[in-house]
Amino acid sequence: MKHTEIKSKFGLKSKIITGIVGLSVLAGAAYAQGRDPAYQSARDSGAVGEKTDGYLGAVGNQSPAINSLVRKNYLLRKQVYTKTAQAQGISVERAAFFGGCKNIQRTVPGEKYQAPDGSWKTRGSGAPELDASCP
Amino acid sequence: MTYMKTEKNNVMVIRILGVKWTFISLSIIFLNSCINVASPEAPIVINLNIKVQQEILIKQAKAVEEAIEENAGIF
Repeated sequence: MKHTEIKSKFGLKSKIITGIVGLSVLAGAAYAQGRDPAYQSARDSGAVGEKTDGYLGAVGNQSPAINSLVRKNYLLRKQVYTKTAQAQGISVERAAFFGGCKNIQRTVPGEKYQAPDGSWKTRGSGAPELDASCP
Repeated sequence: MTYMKTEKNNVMVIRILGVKWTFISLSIIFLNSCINVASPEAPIVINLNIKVQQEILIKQAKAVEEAIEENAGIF
């Protein structure tokens, strides 16, 4: 009887510890992403999603603030894709397409992404739908 | 007598036809073997190309992935 009590107490404690560790890992992950808070909340709310062409897209009609966020992000990402494309001797579009494959894979459950047919999907717990040309 | 003659004629016709068909089928076999001789080398070359192409593709995609990780704030 006593032994069981101790066991259950230990079980609760370990659950709390697991919870704390889990939360700090999540916080750490969010910190490591280093996203602007406005951008992060746009992702979380599903206002923006990852497109197959490697850039962000506004999901449906969005506020001017969201649209400007998408435009600015386009220019920033294009710089990164252009640099990699030049280093690899491939077109910017090709580099961006590879980026799209990766970006869609990197989405977390609840975030939006574009399926190969062009429609917006919400990422579930399983693997996302990727273009057949993704490596 | 007349019957015998027709039978002989028939046999001759069959023989002539037989020789003709043997010749035709032999020439078809020869033609086939001529086409077959050239084919074996090609598929191996194609397979190698696909393998090299796949490796290049993976290398390029990896470079893009690394760039994304380095600039995680905008991705």
